[in-house]
Amino acid sequence: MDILNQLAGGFAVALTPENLLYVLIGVLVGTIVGMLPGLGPMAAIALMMPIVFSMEPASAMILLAGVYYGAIFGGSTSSILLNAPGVAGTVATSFDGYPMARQGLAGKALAIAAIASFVGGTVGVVGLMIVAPQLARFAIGFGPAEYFALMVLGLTAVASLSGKNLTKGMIAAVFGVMVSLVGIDRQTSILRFSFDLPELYSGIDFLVVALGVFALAEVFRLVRQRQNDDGKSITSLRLNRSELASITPPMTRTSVLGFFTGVLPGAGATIASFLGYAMEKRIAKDGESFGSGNPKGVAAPEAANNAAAVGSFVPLMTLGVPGSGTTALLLGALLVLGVTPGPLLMTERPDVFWGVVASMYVGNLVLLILNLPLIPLFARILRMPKAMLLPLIVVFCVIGVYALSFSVFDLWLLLGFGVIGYGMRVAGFPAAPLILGLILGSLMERAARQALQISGGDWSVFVTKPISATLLGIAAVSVGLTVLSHLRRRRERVLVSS
Amino acid sequence: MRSIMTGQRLVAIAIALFSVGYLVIAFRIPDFALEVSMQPATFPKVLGLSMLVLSGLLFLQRPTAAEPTSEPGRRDAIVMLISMVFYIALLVPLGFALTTAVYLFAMAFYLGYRRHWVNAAVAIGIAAGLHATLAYALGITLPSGPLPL
Amino acid sequence: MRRGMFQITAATAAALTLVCAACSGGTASGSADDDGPWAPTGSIEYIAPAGAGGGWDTLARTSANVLEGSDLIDVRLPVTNMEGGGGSIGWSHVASKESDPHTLFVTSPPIILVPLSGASPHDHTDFTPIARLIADYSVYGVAADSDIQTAEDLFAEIAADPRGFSIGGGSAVGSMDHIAIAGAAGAAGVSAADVNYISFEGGGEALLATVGGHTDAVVTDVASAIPLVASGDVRIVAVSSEERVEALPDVPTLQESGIDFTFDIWRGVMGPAGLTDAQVAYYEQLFADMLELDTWATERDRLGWDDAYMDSAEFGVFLDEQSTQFESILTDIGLSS
Repeated sequence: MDILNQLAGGFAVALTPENLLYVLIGVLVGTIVGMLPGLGPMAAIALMMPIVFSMEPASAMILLAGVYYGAIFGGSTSSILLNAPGVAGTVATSFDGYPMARQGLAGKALAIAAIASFVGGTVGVVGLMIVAPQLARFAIGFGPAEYFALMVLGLTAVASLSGKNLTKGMIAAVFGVMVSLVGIDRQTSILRFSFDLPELYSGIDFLVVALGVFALAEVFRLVRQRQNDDGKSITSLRLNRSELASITPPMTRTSVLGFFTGVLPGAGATIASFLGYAMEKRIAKDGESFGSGNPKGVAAPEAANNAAAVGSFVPLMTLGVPGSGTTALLLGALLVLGVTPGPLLMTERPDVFWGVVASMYVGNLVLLILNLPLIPLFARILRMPKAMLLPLIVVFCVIGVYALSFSVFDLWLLLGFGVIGYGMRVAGFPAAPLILGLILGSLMERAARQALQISGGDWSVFVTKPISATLLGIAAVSVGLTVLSHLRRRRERVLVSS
Repeated sequence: MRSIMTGQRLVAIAIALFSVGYLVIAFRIPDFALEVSMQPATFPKVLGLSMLVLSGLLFLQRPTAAEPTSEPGRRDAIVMLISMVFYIALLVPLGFALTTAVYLFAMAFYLGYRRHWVNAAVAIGIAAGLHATLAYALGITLPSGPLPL
Repeated sequence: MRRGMFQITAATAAALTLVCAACSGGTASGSADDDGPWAPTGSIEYIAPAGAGGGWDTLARTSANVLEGSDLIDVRLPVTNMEGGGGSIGWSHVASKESDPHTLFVTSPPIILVPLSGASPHDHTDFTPIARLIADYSVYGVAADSDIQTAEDLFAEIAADPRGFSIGGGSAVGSMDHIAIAGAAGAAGVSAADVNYISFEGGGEALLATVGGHTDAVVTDVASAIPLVASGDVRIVAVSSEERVEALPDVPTLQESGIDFTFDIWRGVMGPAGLTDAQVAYYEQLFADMLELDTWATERDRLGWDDAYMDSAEFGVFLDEQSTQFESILTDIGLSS
């Protein structure tokens, strides 16, 4: 078994006391930074850069990879506890995690997130180990037409995220797409919807919107509830066997889905988490309760985003192509350290490749061991009197947004989206489709234009390419089923009322 | 159903007006100088029209129950909003640490926290702690204002 | 979606390029003039008009570290990231600091290209050139199984089927990679407007699209291309430098292929308008001296940069030339505003 030998070599690298220490530091720093709303893996990695430049390449990557998945892990904590996503990939975690926390199940929600992250991360590492080179070829098969089809499929998740009223969900999604188009159009350098404000030229940051419509809108809602729900008790974080059994299939499925999505350089952890969430909502028998605190709704996106984070190492290490801003930073670090990632990395620098793979096993375990005991501690923040907690959430959001761009303008945008998000809630519009539209909108437009530009304006490219046609077919079936079920429900309602 | 003009219908009209405004801007986006498969205005036009259609659908729909809102809380929400406006406006001139400490204390006080010394200690502690953590551990320099930080 | 997950910092890769060729440090004419010598009296705000981790940021932080660690300067140079608008946010800030000698920023071709596209009210003439420091180059590549073997083949294909032959690049339409291919096309006798340029998010995605057969060719920077060149997935047919680059010794330059075009992705330092001659002299001497430091050489080699020093006056002339050249290429493409 060649792989086992290689992996043993990897563990020999990862298990030196020095590298174990780096894994520990990495995941710890990553978790803490990730927990702060707005500060994600990019901030954490950028800040570790100066330190790693003097290190061995394998150690440096072990440290940075630890920071990366530590941050994604940490992001789920603030999503669940404060409805303030720490990291883009954990927005979907808040859909059910936060309702669970409001119901006094914060400990349980965090434990599920920790376990699902572990499972997702581990499935991802196994995938990375066994099929990375083959997967690299799979990723190359995705050109603009295929990405367009993937984004269309992703948008069909709006149906799952819309709650009772599909029209309102679609309005929110279209608004999200509109927001994603603000700024300079990269394909033509023409300004769109930027109102001559230079601050808008490069668009509106995803996290500004997410923190506004989730965290701030929630602050406005909570402040209006006069009754005091201080000192909310935090139930045990222990999961019983039936709970574990119920989240295991979703975790496994979404881990695989997340890993494959992460492998595609143009997709990533955020899209993976939304796809995973939507898929499980559709599969689950109790799908109706997604969005109001269903444990599966926490497990699915968490497993998916962690698996995707690991999956994103496939194009990075085997093709030398980063799939996200974060992996671009990692690529930069590798180059500076004299390691050229690419198809030859596995043979030229097996210590780096297998050392990182092995360290991910260790890191995932460390994260789990480190975080399970800390969960009650984190969850205690909810015991804070509401009078103190609400302003504190505002402060966290402000720091997170300010640290993104050092721009006061973005803070006004944050406030604006807070007000919009609150208004949407009052009027019964779901916020999740807005976020989905924001993530997918500009990507979808870009992929469509690239594909059409290549084909010379021939729209048939989307259906003549097999991968693209398949994805669009799934999307069509998914939309068809949704429409059918809505019609059926309406008919039932009519029958009942008559 | 109280009247024809339910809250939802007003919202639908507002969205329709927004769509029209959006479409006006979309139609004024210049075409690209080169021959391209899809102009920068194409997708926005589709979006604006979709939104208009959706607002029409919403108008025709039977209203779904909106979240009930209580009158007394309205003042708190407005105070929260105004306090955030001040917080953001003063963040740079007065510095992060000072503004944050004052904001945390004032809002906790307003929202009914009555242990003032604890409140002050927490507000100052959190503001100073966050500033120090970000500056020294993460290398993120927040505005310092007049304080010698 | 701004600075989002998919904003691959092509610049990161770009900055970390190239094995360094023999580097000429260059000597600056740094003598003090009429006003007498000048020196900074406080810390210098050193602006990277982009987020952390990109090419501008890497240059700013590296040079700040080298300078602070040397005895060339005894004030600090804290790096400030001002992200947004492809640089225009940072430039507006510097423009508001007219005559403030304690403000500097790192710069590269976007200081010319972004204003030409109409997305920034400020262009290079609104600032004082201090020094050009380093350079990087463009490469033109195809998938390994392509029939195209040389630059001549490449441009012949473009001429034969302008709409059907697609060329991917990592930067926006009308920006660096597009200029690099359109300018070369023009010099090869093919209409620049006939280049069907497809903009991807970063050189990496552009390369993958070519390897996967989605586009026919790719234009990107040396560093981004190296991994897939080394693995044999991509064949580079030409490089835009004047002489062959060390990282790709077998690749001919465009000029060797009979196409009279060179293009370099330079990086340098500028300050606000209204600096006195003494202040400019101080800084150009400072950066000239920095390039001579062993600590700089170490960092530069590690980052794969190529020294390409110009003093303030040379840099100013160079910027004007670049501006004229870019504008004419953009006009050829059909993009001049």
